Amino acid sequence: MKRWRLFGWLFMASITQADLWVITPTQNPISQLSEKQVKDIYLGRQPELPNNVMIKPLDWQTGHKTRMQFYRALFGKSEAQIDAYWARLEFAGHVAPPQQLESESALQALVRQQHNSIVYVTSDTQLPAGFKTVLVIATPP
Amino acid sequence: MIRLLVVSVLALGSSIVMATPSAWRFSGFINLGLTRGDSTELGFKRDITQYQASFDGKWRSEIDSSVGLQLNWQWSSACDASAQLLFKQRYNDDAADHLEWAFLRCRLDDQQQLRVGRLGLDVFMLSDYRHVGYAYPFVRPPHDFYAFLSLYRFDGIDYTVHLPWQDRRWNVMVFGGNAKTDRFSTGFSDFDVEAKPLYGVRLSYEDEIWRWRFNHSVLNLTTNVDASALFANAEIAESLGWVGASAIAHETAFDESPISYTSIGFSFDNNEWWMQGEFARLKGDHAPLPDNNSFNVNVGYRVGDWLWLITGGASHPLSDTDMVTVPTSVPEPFFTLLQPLALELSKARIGSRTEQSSVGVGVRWDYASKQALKLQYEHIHVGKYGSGLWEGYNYFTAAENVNVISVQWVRVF
Repeated sequence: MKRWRLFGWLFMASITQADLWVITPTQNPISQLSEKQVKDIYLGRQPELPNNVMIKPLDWQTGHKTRMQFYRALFGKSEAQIDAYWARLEFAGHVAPPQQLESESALQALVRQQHNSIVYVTSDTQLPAGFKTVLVIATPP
Repeated sequence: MIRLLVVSVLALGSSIVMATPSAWRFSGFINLGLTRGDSTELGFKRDITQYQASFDGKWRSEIDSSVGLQLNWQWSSACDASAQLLFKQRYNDDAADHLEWAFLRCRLDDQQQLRVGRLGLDVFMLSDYRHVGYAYPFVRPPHDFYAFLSLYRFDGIDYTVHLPWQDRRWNVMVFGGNAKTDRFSTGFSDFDVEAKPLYGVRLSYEDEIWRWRFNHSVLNLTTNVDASALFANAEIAESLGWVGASAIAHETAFDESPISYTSIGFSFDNNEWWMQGEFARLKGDHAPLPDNNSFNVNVGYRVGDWLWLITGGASHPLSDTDMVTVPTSVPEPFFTLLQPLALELSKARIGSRTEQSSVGVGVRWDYASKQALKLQYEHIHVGKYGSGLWEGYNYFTAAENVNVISVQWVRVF
């Protein structure tokens, strides 16, 4: 019985640790991004992209489970650390943090207008229509 | 304090109801603190623009409380405009004084940007976000190092170029303009200061763990202190037999005083350990503002939502000083009559000097999204003739030890 319980726990754990996809509208000419490029984009560092395309990162609301997972996987940081980082940049007048999405439906509405945006979703959700994956981020077990 | 609370509530309310289009962004920060210094001689204040301080164990809310409101307008893909209002305890409290900065920024290309307007002075590790309590672990930027650096903003221009090199991020910024500070309240008087001109260069490096900054700034300080009466009295003293009185009076004049700051700082954050340190040399070479070295070192360790902190720092002038005394060769009754002048010259010579060191412990608790609580204790040793960062009834106090306790709630929205 104990063995089955352990198996079940591991199975559930494997489900909850789904990878993350960084996605962009299919109209965006970019087909692939490196992990470093995505890090630079989400830290407001204006990376050099090969074709000089301006990328607009989108974020989920503070407290969203996917947001916590993304920053932990990509930077090893908690949400509080990331929010403090952005407080430093924003209130010193350097860079504003990524625009936050209130819901999945807002994502569809927004990207119809902004083809240069990127956002991240967990791989256990269905890839939204009109999007392609430009990076897969493995989440730590 | 009541006004700060009202602004805080209105700001939080407006952040909820204000439906801004995506080109506009409204945001803000709130710091509400209580601070207590236990000295009867020296009153603790956050920096030298504050005029109310904590004496004798009295808790004060003004020292570490402030509210900032910010509006950003992205008017094209290359250019944006930003403005920030800051409400805090100030000597001058005109509406224009609350405009912390307002500028227009244009990105010339991927690597270069230009800002014009009222700008935050961005040269030290914390210099352009010193009021944003949520952005750093301690209750306030280290007192020994930052309390004198009360030049927060300037009207002018800065140009930044990003230099990507071997996957690292280097920035070079040059800046120039004029600055008018909030009124300084130092040991001997209250006066307005202008830095005209102010210019400098900053080199910075940043990767995922380290940040480094090197700065060199030059400024020409002028004040509105009218020293003409002091000069006239010193000339009279010369005629009464006090040889050198005029020279001492002119030594204490601040006008057109060139000053340079050179500093190097680092921060380290591997998500478990956090460290930050800075060293700065002020080259003033004036009796009231002598050459000075200052530094601070801070180490923190994260345990879940808690960050435990040890702080330390010092500010030390590179030359000795002493009270101005009337030479014993001056005959009576002039010797007695000139004592008040000697006291005035002593205040001018010594009142701005800073000599102190501190150690402290603190903790920050990120108990909820975008808000945190902080608690901090510091033990500060203020040297003889070194109380320029403090309010004091007795300017020439002997060395004094002060314990400062602070608690603060911070949030951003």
